[in-house]
Amino acid sequence: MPSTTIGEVTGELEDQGTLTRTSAQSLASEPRTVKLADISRISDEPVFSCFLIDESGSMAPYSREVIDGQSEMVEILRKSNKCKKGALFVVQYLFSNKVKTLNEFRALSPSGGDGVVLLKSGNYYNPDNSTALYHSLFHLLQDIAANYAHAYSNGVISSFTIGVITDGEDTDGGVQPSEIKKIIQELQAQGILRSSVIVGLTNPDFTKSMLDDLKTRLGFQEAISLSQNDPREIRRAFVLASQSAVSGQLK
Amino acid sequence: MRFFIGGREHTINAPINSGGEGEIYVIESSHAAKIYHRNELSNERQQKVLALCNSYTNNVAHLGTQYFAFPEQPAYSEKQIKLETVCGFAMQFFPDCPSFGDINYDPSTRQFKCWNSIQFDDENAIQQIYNVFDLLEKLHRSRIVLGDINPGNLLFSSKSNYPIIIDLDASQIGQFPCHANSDEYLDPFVQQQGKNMQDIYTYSTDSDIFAMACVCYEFFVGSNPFFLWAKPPKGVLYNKQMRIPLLRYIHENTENICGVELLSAKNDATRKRLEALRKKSPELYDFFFSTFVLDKRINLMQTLDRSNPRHPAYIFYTQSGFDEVLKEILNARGKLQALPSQPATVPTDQLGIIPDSGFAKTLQHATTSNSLPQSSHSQLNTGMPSRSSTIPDSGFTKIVQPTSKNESKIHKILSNIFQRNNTGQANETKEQNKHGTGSAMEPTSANSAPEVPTDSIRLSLFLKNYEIDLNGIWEEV
Repeated sequence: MPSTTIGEVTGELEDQGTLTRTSAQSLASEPRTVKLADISRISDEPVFSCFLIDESGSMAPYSREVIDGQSEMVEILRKSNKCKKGALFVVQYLFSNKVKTLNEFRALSPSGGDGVVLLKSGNYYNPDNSTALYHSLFHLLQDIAANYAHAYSNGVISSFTIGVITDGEDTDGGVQPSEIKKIIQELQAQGILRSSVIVGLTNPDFTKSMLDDLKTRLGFQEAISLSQNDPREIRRAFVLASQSAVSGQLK
Repeated sequence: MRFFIGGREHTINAPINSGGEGEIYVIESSHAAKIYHRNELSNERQQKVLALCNSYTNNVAHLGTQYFAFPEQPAYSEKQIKLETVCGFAMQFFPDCPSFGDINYDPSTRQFKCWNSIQFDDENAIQQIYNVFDLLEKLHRSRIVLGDINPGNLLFSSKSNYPIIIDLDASQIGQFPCHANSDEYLDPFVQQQGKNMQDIYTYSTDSDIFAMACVCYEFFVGSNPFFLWAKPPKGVLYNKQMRIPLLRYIHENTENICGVELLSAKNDATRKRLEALRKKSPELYDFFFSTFVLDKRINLMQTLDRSNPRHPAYIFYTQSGFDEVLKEILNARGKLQALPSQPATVPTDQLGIIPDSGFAKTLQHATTSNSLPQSSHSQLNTGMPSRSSTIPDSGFTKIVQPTSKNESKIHKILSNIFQRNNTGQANETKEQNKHGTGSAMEPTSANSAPEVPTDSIRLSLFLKNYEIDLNGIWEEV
């Protein structure tokens, strides 16, 4: 899998006019190496669907529903036209007090065997610790910037979708939400970020109004609230996240 | 999931498919139900479902059940039948039918994808594209505009060896609009027109033809017609708006259009695939060219010659003898066109003319040529193609014939000609007599000169009897 450094990428994006200097510098403030998707065999514009799944301690009672829902989500994505055309790439992260990459950007195959991890296929999901939502999102935005620049320099335009499933607010900080909001807004204005949705599993500590507030603070396009008390709603959260990822594609 | 159809309760858990609008559940071996997501249900959608179900019998009578999945019966969320409880509908279920996206050409393997032992070769794939446009034409004749067209809306049945059009509940019918859209297949004219006050596009039969052409191109070639590896990359939507498909680069034999430079090596596989299409079916290649580059919106079936067995009216034309009549018309028209052309000085406003509607020329073109008129191709050099610039030459020609309007003028001209000839011959006779070479007993030409009739009907007969070419005379005049 090819890789690049975040400093190199942000410079390119600033030169192209894709990102402002402030946003480029913000992304480059935490240097790291980013792995890049293999787009050499595509025959259609790639869509990169990014999923951030809450693995904090409060999700522990709902592990079964999360594991089943995630599989359902991937199955829905496999039936989309974009996937059938070999141009749907999926990256998945679990986040608690740190971000854990379930799989890097992989081209999703309609028949499987593509390296996209299903939670039910192993001991992947172990809810614990706090909710480092902002830091995890920042990490994801770095991955998005690097993969967009990679596709662009190879001669194709790419687009991204973000689906976050969480049952609470950020507890760790480390990154300012205003920084995230600015980058997200710039990516949306350029048509790079096609869709961004937070599916909130609401409970007394994380109400619908708190979810809406989080959405506004981060510059997301949509917030969907589902009740954490109903196990079916948790599975539905994954279905909605997948639908938002392939909206306009999935028929 | 619990719903009621025809008074019968159905409780089903797992949908077989899930989309942006709803989920599909199998309720019987031959029937499925589409149940809309709650957020997709509106009064308008519920009314549309009822209207579509009410017209089911009529639709089936016109179009049959084999190739279309029309909404058949409304599904209710409660036992009580009310508009507010409409949550979906039942329709015919087509099991084991892959979508066109499951069986299209895969550039990475250089063959069509295989789905449960269904795999096309080029010939069969081309035939299926014609079948798709045949179905589309039938829908359009029934005033149904599909609107949102994508590979997922087209299934293939190996039983009937024919495509099936599904998602007809989303179509634009009567007062009910189509809410869905797939940007990459959307007609650029519809995109330019923009959305209306209700934030929806207004589709047309033209936009259906464009979108279906995109889907069929993708089915055969393996990529969107406007997908390019380029520098700088601009994206399918931009390329579509600017009318720069790969076909245009090939036709203009250039690497750079509108500042978008083609990365040749990366587009080479698609280029070769298009070359293969051109060899196997020049008609289909030309159809794609005329749709994506020349902005024409003519159903593929209408571009066919009537003598082509793929033409829907082929059997009628060949068995009724109509094609023979057409041939005679063509022959007659050909003879007329073979007449010498008139000079520019002919006062055609005073002389009657028979305008040629261009029908014969169109027929002639259709029967003799597989390629587009050169005039259509050449317009590309002028930059952005426009609809008006693609209007073909009607073949409007003028042939001088006697009519009530010009009969006096023709009479006068012919009389003058005969008088002039007679005078000339009379003088010649006088000269011959003077030198003793002529016979005084022979009648002069003046005496034997035919009388030129005055009315148009007799003038026509006169011209015919004496084999007089009026156009030729006009040239002399």
